Amino acid sequence: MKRERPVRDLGRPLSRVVKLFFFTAFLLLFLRDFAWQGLLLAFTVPLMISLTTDWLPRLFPCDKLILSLTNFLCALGVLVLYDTNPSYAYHQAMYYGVGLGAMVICIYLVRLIRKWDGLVWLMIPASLILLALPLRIGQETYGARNWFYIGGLSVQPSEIVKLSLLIIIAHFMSRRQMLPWLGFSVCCLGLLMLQKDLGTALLYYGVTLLNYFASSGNLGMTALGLGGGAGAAVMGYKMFAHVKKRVAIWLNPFADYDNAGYQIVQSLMAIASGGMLGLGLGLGSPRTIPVYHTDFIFAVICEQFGLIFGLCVLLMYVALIWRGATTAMAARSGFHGLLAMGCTAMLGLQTFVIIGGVIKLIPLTGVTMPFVSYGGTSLVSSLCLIGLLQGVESLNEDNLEEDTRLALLGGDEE
Amino acid sequence: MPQDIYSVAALACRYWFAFLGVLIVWRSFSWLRKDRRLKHKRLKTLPDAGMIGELVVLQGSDSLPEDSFLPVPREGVLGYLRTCDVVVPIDGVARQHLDFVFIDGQGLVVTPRRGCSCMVDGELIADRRDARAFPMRHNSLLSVGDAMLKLRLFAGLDAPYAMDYMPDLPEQEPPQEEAMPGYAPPYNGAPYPPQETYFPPQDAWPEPPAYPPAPQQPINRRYHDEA
Repeated sequence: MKRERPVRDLGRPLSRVVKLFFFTAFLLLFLRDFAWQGLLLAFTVPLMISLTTDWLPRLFPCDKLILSLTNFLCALGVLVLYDTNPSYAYHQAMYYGVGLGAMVICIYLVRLIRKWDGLVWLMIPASLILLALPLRIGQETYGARNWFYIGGLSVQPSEIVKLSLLIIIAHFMSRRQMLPWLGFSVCCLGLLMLQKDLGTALLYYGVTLLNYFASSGNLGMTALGLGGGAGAAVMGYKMFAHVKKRVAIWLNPFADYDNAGYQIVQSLMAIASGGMLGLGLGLGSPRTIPVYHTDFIFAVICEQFGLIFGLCVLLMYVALIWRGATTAMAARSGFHGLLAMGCTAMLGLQTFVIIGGVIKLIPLTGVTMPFVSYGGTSLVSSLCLIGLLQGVESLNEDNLEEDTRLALLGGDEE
Repeated sequence: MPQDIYSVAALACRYWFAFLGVLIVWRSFSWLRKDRRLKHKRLKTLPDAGMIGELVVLQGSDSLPEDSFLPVPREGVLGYLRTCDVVVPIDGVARQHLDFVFIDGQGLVVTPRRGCSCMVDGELIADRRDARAFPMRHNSLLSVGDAMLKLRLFAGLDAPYAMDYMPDLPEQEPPQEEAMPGYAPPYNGAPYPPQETYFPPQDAWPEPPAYPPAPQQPINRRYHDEA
């Protein structure tokens, strides 16, 4: 009798490689200056990865591939920050832990909440108030007024509202109620325009449009929306001086290389000097790149680890997006499908916008690189996105199990 | 560690990190590929996965012959377009004619789109309120355009309201005082409501009554047929 081959757990080997990577990397940095924090991180980061990839799936069905890749990217952020500015790394590691907790909560929320009606109507005014707060009590940074400080903590509300936007548009689009989601998206975009946070406005707009297309399949209206977006971009270019400046820098950064184009030029030089294999971890001069810890962290990665590794990081995002799209397509209800699609689109678009800006493919906009860039709100909200995605995946897995059970039941009855 | 030695170690580690990065990507993509195959294989054995029932064509056309059936997902759009979840290429059916959603405890709620209408069990459905009032249940008839479709539900049969899905059975005779034990009417399909044993009169044992065709076994019927 032919014996059935046991299904191999593919998550464990991948998780082992990820842990090995960070153990050796932090150990190398520890050997540089024998700081005990390096040694501590060499053990705690793999432990955190182990906790999420090996122990979390015991609580509920989870996608270990998404977990492994997300953990890799988060830990990569901590590693690069530890090398360039250790104090940032400690904050980032702390937010990484908080984000993992928030991710688990999001998974439970998606699994447990069956009726979102009341919650969604509460989320709409709460999100709009939160998004309007920086206009009142916020501070202007790099031309945008999208931050405010509360109790010594800096908060970027657009990162939190991102999550509610996804839930709200998925809820109303799945019920084919156009007015609420359209009204909410327009209000969000208006507030973001007032804050001059055009990068986030672009993300919100792109995700809403993508979700609209996914829910309706209406190509004509989507094209119309795209045209409207292009029109708004042209209007933004004419209205805002800093947008004009960014486009000019994008077209020719070397024209003003020691002033306006300094960021891009330094970024391009860092990527080029890294070569195929990089200058080595802890070597090179990543701190010469302006805002190396947030917007330009990809340039630092390419400088230290090389283009091959940079390409690997990009491919990891591609794998995450692929998996997210598969999850969205396998969802049984419109709401869950659109929620997963929204999370995937948000991650994909954000990655494209920031990496495209760093490598001078598109004009640079101030958004963070998901999971990697320094920033507590950004990291926690990105992990929440993954939590929502994992929640949908876990429901899909439950449904498939149920189908298999029913099929076996039917077989027994026959 | 002296800077020179650290530099040599860091330069040597570049190859190690690049190798690990490539290994992670390779493993991830091979996992994606294997999972795709596995999922495809799994769904092949569960052809009705995600479906709540099927619409049997009672009145169709050349492109949609009678007695063919259309699998019905939990929610979606019915229309003429290929991109619809349930495609009905028949005259009188709009490109996207109606939205449907299966609600536990109610049944399949069909809501026609603007400018479209349909009939459920003879009741005209024109808007959301009508749709809520007349949800489709097992054996409900849907008239859309020139098509007449009959709903057969797989889902919800284990729910308390499942009795609503059962066909009307003829009233049974009450048990006689002197009865022949051990005779029960043949019944091919399950589930069916619990029945008491049928006791015919002793002097004349009639043929078992002609029951209407029982609903098909709701769970993955096609899979079992193939098996």
